[in-house]
Amino acid sequence: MIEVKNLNLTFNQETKQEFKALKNINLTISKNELIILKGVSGSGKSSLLSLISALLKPTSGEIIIDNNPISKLPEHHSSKFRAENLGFIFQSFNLFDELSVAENISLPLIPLGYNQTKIDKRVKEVMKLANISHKAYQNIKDLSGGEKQRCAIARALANDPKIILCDEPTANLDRKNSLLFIKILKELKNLKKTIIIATHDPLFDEIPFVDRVINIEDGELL
Amino acid sequence: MNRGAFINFLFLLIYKHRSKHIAIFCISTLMIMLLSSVLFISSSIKYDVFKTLHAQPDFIVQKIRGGKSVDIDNNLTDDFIKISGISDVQSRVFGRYFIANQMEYFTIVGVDFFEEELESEFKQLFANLDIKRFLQQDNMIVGDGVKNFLRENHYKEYFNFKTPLGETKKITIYQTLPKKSNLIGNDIIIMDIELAREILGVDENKATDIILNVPNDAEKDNIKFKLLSLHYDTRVITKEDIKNSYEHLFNYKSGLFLLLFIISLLTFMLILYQRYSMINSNDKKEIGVLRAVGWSIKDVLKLKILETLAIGLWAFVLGVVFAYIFVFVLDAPLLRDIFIGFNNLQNSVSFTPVIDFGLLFSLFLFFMVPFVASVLIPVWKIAIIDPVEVMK
Repeated sequence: MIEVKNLNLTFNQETKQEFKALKNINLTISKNELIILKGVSGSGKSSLLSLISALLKPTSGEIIIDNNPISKLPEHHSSKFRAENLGFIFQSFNLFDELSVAENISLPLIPLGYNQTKIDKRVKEVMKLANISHKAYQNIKDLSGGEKQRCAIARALANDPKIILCDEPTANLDRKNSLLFIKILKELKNLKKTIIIATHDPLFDEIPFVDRVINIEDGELL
Repeated sequence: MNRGAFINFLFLLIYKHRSKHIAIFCISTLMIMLLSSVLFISSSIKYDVFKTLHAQPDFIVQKIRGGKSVDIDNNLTDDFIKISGISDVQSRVFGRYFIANQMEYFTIVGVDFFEEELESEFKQLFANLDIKRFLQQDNMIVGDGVKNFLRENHYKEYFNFKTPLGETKKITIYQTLPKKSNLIGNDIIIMDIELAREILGVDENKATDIILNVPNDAEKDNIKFKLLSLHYDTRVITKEDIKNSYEHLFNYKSGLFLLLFIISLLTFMLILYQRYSMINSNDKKEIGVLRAVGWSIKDVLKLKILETLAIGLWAFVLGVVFAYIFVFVLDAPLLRDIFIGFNNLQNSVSFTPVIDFGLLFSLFLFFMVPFVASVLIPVWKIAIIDPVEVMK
């Protein structure tokens, strides 16, 4: 379970450029829930995802995941927490362009202490799941947008995370690939993952298997 | 973290980033090769020169007239041997033979092959020489430089020397000194002492100088004082004096190379600074992605340090290996002339493989520390920023 309590995030605090990205957020997300975090660009949805994944530290308040106060963990422990529990799908994919699909997918498995055989086995499994096995040894720079997205999904699944966070996952995809992503999303939901998707894509309004839609505006939950 | 998987990824990253590393790798290899070559040459020369010095007599006594060195009376050897504490007294005949039209000179060394106290250096050189056969006619043993010079001037088997009396003396080349002795023996001609007297115009009862040994180190100052008080018109040169003059010469040449060292290091620092400022957006994205997928700051730093260390280490090892081949196999073309000099006969010296590991280790530290720091500092700066900021 994810609990967000009195969360505030302020950039450039106590300067002329001070900006309150998130204001007093309180939120509880149950296990296996699929949540759509909806809002326009700059509303604070990406910041909230970054805080939940411990990529950012809040200005005040806290985030507790399965009784772990992840917003207060020191860097080494928050990295370990991410490696063991989280999968992240970014808007711009954030893949290593010069590495192959398989090599990119193996990245989250290295800090987990897997040996090479175990890494190769797991990479094969998730490539199959994300339907990207046929491009395993191709470099990222030679892939289409949809293929890059599937590679990013496979990488997010590699460590078998409890929570998957998606930041504008369809922003760089055409309609066909966006629908394909939604299909994969359904499979992930069936795998009992907790999924949080930050998006402003109207395509997600039509999805029947979404548990909850949370609207966010100017850093506040509506 | 599993070591095998980490190492696999490290080498994969180095291979994939090869185009990014190639320029710094080549420049570093070249710089290490140049600096190691200088170290190898200077160590080798010092080794050979000081080895020769070791075989030198303790004292050399010369006669001085009007501030110049002139021939010394042979019978002084009898006076010297009477001084207690002195041993191995021997007179020497040597001098320079100048070839005016070519502006070159040889060093003629006269040797008494039947002298029991023959210098150990000569004893080694003549160990395999058939002395009887050598002395049957007017023969000479020449250094490599002399042989080449004579050959260029169409004297392949002999040379006609002019004596001070205007007579021509035809002397046959019997053999050449081994190439490894070129540092000292390049312009040397060794011949029988009587023949040398004739060519150099040294009287039968005279010598160029007298050498002697003092086995007891504590007695050396006393003996020097005695020699000078008995023969006020002599100059006594000790082995220590020769060693000092060699050291001055090498310090002077090493000073020139220190300058080369500083210039190379400054160039290298500039390259590193450029590398430091060229940690680009792609590197930032890489670090951000690694952190986002669960790599800790420590893991990222470890990866980047090892990546840089591996490249630096390869460049260093390759540079040292190339330098070894350049100096000890190819005899350091171009660089050799700066050290050996070629104001007289062109010297094709062969360097004795001598490696000063202390200096090599210092070079390794001077190279590796800034090399790794140039990557470590910017990577650390990026790694401690929130990954989201880094990837923006």
